[in-house]
Amino acid sequence: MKRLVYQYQMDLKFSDFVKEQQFQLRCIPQDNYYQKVIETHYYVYPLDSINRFTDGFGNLVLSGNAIMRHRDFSFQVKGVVEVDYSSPKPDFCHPLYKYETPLTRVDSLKHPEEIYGLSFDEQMMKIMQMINDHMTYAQGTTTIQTSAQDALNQGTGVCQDYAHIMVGLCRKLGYPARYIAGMLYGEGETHAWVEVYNKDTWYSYDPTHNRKVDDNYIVLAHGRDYTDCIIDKGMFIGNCKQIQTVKVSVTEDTGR
Amino acid sequence: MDELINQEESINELLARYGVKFGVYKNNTFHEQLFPFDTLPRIIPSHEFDYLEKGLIQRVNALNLFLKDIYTNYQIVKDGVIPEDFIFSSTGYLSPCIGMVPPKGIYSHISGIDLVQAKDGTWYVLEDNLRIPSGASYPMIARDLMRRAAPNIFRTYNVRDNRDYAKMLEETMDYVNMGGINVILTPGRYNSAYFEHSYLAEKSHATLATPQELFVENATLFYKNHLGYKVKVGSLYRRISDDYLDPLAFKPESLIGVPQSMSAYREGNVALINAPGNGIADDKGIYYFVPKMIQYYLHEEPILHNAPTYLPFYEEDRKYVLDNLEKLVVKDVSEAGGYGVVFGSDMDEETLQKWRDIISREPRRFIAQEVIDFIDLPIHENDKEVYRKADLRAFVLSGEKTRVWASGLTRFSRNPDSFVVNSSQGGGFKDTWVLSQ
Repeated sequence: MKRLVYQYQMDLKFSDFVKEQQFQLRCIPQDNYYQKVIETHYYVYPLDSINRFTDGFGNLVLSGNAIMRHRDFSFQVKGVVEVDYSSPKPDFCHPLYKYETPLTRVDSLKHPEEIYGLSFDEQMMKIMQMINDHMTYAQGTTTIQTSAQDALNQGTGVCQDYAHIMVGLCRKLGYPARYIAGMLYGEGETHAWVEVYNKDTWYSYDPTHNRKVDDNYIVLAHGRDYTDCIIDKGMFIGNCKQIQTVKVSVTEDTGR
Repeated sequence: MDELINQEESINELLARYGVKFGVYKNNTFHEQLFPFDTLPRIIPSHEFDYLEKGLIQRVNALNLFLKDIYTNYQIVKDGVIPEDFIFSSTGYLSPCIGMVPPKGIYSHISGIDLVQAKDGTWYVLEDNLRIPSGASYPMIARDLMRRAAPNIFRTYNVRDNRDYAKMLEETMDYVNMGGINVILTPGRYNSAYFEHSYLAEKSHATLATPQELFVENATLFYKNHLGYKVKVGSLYRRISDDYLDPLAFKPESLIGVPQSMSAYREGNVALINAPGNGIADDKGIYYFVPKMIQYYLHEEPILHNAPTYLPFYEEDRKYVLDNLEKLVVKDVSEAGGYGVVFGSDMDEETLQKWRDIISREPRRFIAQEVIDFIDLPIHENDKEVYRKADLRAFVLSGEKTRVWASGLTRFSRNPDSFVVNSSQGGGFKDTWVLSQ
């Protein structure tokens, strides 16, 4: 078990004034079978109205708007979460996670016989190994619209692509699987990994790092694929460019 | 009846003047076409309508229970009545609707059930329309004009009064209203049913609004009136499809939606009429299961018949479909409005083989039905009486109770060889008289 302190900061700079910005943020950790939220603080600026609702997958969403003219928009979430992956706990799985989506569509494994006879966990480790043997991590080679099969075909991608490929392959094998958006210990950006359902429990794997998820991971949102877990979704009125910077930091809470 | 036929030209002129038109997008341009009105009414005897009414109420009640079930516990799937595939792999099943129940538990407030009557007198349900079925305004205004043109007729014949549709609609909106005004949301002037939106708003005392006049603040939907004041909306009869309703929940490129309207809805601050996500229940694949739903949820035997339908998804059905394709009609489950419908009888051997291949490859995508030889109704055309295929869209409103409007939209095909009567395919319409005795 680890007690993690996190901070998520997003800044948007517009090249000209915009107005009537609408946003939906999925960046508030919630209690689940592996993590317990100790405290949460969030700050949005500028802001005219905000409220929380739960989406169809059970993610907590902050939705709101900034109506007046502005050129900068930022939000920050920080808090403390206790994470414990040592003892898996049963949970429910919606049947929707069995079905492929355009982003998670993949052809079947080339050599499925390689995973015959393996235990569930061994199968997952093998799939991650296969993905890593085939893929090279390279930023800027894929976009948020790249499907799992396209990423596989070109052999490069980022964590989102690795997660889509693994979700797709698991579904092909008959395991319900879902995409996770979250944060990883250290400094950087947000991360993506997967949860796979076996018997009555969700198990977490990080195909990008080719390892099981441990107490260094904080879940922000889950869904069928990336599109269900977009951390910052929004729209505004204005005709201009925008530059987005995201800073994530997760450290261990040792102070208390 | 001659009294009515003689009025045909003048009534059609009046309809044109009132803007009773049907808009169609073809090749990316918008055409408005008149929806030709035939003055000879379809007459439904009283006892026949009583039977239809019972069956329609039963059917719509079961469909509402089905929607509530599959967006919460999906017990009908767990109990093996409907295969999981038909629900969760369908594009009609919308994840933003999972886990919430709309005000008063009603999903389909206004249902348009399409029926045909076979030559032996049996009525068949062809299609359930639970998204935003259109068409009620056409018989409303046509009856109004007929009454003015030939007032005596309605004294001589015992025709049930159908001037209560707007009142039924208003009561339905009021019943689910979460505090605030009733609003009908139209995408605007260039929508194919704009006439209907404005007409229904006027008659049901609702406010007609375009997307620009609505906004969400603190998960509450507001209407900005002409003075710039904001008024809370409690019931939104939105005449735009789910996909375009909220760009933050569905298609991000939608310009005709109201951003955040789904969050206001999920928070229980506004009723959306009809509820989003209903597309899963009027999917042509789900149609097959409606009689089973009636047994499952209501423990009753279905009163109305489905057209004999085969699901190529089931091996036995697939074999039958492939062997008998030349006498069946095949429908693409994801299409609506008369599109994606092909008749085996129109195909040559090569085309039949092509379709057999497509069906074998994608069995889940199609249903096949026996072609019902439905009755022809007399149509008055160039001073002659000709007979054409016609269907009936019955309107069922679910509020405090489920009620059937004692009228409906009778559409007919103007092409003598066609079975397709949809208005977007160039058909016409008639008044529907339900007799009171």
